[in-house]
Amino acid sequence: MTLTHFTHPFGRNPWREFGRMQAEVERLFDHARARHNDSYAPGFPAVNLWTSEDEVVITAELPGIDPDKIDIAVLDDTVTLSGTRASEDVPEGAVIHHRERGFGEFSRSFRVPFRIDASGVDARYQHGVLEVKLPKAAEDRPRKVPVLTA
Amino acid sequence: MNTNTAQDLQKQETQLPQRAERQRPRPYAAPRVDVYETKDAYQVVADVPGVSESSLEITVEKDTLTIEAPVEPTRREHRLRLAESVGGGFLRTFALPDGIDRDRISATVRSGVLRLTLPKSETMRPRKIVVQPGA
Repeated sequence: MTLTHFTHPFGRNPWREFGRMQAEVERLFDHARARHNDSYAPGFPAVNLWTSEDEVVITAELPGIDPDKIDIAVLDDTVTLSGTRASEDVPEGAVIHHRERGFGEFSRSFRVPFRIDASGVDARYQHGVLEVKLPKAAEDRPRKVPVLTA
Repeated sequence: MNTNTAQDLQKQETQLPQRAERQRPRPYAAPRVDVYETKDAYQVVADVPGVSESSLEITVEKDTLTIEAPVEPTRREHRLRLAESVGGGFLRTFALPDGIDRDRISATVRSGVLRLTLPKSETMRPRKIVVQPGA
């Protein structure tokens, strides 16, 4: 997939396109999730997404998860965050008054408007927040072409 | 089973406590919690992603327990394109049930999960009364 995919002939905002594709990806995953009868509302983890010329940064709220058990998969222009969150270990005989915290499997995919340099992806987990940096692949970066004199 | 205390501990409408020192209201969110009760204590487990020990404030005032954890929003050069988390922090208040040993309330926060232990006072724990044989 190339950048041309996002450049609409009528000059539409590529990020509007991003939003539409995001909805599409979410819809597909919601469908998959529905079959698993997962306890999560769609949209776990809550995510913020930033962009610059050269990278996309995603932060995901994943409290209480072993960072080794978070799976980050990159394919072309799509990143998928998935994993499992264990339910609270309630001692036997305890009375449960509230159970609002979700548990079970989660998976969310995001499509960015460039191919991702998979080898350059950087992920950190601190205070229950996962931060993933997705650099733009070299092929999709603007390149200066030197003009040779004949 | 113990429905009164269950109701006591239920979430009150989350409202900013009236505090003089607050400069401007933050976009607080109510954290999701699990609450369970053993014979010795109540346990409150709350999801507070982005919160560290130093930014967490737990107060007991009269019969109200307040968890307040501001989170500084991340500032970046980048453009924010999708914001599902407002990032102002967390605030929630609970009505304390009777018989909590307030001096022994303890809390830990790890990987964005707050664990609060509210021990029951000695007098509130179930006790077995041995019936003496009549003379």
